[in-house]
Amino acid sequence: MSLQACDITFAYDGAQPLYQGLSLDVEPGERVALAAPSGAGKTTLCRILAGYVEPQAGRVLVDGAPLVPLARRRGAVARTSQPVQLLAQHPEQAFDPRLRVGKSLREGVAGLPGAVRAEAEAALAAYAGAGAGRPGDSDGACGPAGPAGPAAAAAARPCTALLERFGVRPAWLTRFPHELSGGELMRCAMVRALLARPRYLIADESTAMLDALTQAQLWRALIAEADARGLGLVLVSHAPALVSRVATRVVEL
Amino acid sequence: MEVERNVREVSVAEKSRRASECADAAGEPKGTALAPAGKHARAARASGAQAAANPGVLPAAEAPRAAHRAHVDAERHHHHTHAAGSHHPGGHHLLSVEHLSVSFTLYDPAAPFFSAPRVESRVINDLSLSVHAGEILAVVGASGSGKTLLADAILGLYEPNSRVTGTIWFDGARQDAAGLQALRGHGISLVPQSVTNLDPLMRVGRQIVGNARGEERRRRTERMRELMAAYGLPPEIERLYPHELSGGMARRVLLLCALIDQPRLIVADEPTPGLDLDLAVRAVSDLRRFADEGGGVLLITHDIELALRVADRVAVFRDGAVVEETARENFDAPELLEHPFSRALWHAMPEHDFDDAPAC
Repeated sequence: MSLQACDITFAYDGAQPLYQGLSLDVEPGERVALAAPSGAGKTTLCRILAGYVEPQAGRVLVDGAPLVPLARRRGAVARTSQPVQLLAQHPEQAFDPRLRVGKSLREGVAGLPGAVRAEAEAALAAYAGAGAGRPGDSDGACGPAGPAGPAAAAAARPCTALLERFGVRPAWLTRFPHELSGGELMRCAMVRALLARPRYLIADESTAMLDALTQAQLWRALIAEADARGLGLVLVSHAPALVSRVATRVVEL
Repeated sequence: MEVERNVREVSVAEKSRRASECADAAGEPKGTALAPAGKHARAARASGAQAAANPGVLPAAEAPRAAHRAHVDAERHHHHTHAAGSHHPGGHHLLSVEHLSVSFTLYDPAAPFFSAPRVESRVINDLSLSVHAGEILAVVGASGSGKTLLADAILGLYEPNSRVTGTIWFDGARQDAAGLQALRGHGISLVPQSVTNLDPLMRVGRQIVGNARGEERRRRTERMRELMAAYGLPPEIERLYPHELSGGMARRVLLLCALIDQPRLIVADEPTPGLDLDLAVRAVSDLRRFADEGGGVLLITHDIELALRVADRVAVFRDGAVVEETARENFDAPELLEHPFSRALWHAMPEHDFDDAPAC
């Protein structure tokens, strides 16, 4: 039961291979930091682990089953969500610019089984509705804004609780990505990844562009969530202080 | 009376000033005085306070050109404290921004589409800060909190639907919108965030020299070559296009585009996006050098660690205002910081407590 990379070899076209026969093992509940100088292929390894890129040799196993790369997901597999979710460095590039953020969040629950998915979608809609009813709290207020009125009943649902824990305000769900700041989008990106109920989460320089306070808030929330669910976490960070705070193990590439 | 109330800040700055004076007397460059001044700043509280209370030890300032009285190096004024390199040549600040507010008129997003009234949304709210000659002032704030609007306001760039109020003094002279526009490129220059600000279809040399003709063009080309030599750029890059440069070189070219105008103040808006701390410090070292030669730098960044590594003073930006503007040395310990939000920021740093307590 772990996320395993076995004998991975990867090279970009016409370039020296980044690594040959690289193996990595991430247990559930572990927080593994990848350490290497710039250009050594940390981001590429993250993308391989999350199925964005296929290695030329070797394979990735999730709890014993091979990970299906995103490009090869067909049929029944395509309707489930990927068990490894990636948090990119630039959240503004991880959201469809033409979709309202609420709709992007719905993509997070698209791979869940029928009844759970319907409930989560209803909770998201109710949460956004709570924001539309009270436009005044969209700015200025500090901390997570609780839903009121029609959404009060939904507050108990895990989906709504998650949104609140990451401080996503209801009003954001009806906005477009360019109308939110980087920190606000990263909160949404983390919620979206967690809504998909992954077993492993990859954070690639996810908080490098954020201020210290937002960074601390998001990591605290993420670690609490990972501990509660027994998630395995892989992180890449250039900041040694952050790594020593967050990681339970450091792997040199 | 003000001196008494703010004994702590005065003492830090006073000690720093004396340290730099000693360094001057010893014939050392000022930059080297920074480190010892910071190290002993806190230890010097008591003695510094006494010295500051006696105006006799402070250097006589020239008559103020600004409307308010002359500034001296170590005192507390305009709600900020000083670092070793903070000087007031001519008895005033290089740049002083007072009670700046920027607001935008827009249609009420909450109202029905066709009957939405106009509302005013205030992004910068009563902001004050000052940049001294010879220092880097870092403005640190969350992304999306309106820091770039501050840079725009100083450069005299205003959106048609914006309303800007407040006072901006540059080198002791009060500026209006036209004045700031005239200063853009002739005293105040911008170093933009991204290397994509370079024209991809124009050779680097032409971009640095800019649009000049005849004698002026020759002079600027000569100055560009001097600058390129000084900043370690090989002469052959003059003929290259931006995509042929490495990231670090492109960043230097951006800086040279600003330096060619011989500015006195550089506004650098997030000049190190995506660089890790060590690379960022190296990228900012060129700005450090500009400051050491007597220029002023306003460094806008989200990265408190970078700010603490390179800046002389730090202005903490929050919700459109500067809540505290203080010497970097005061970030050595949270009790030296005045505002609860600055302390929250200190505690949130991974080196310290990694604390996520919201400061509101």
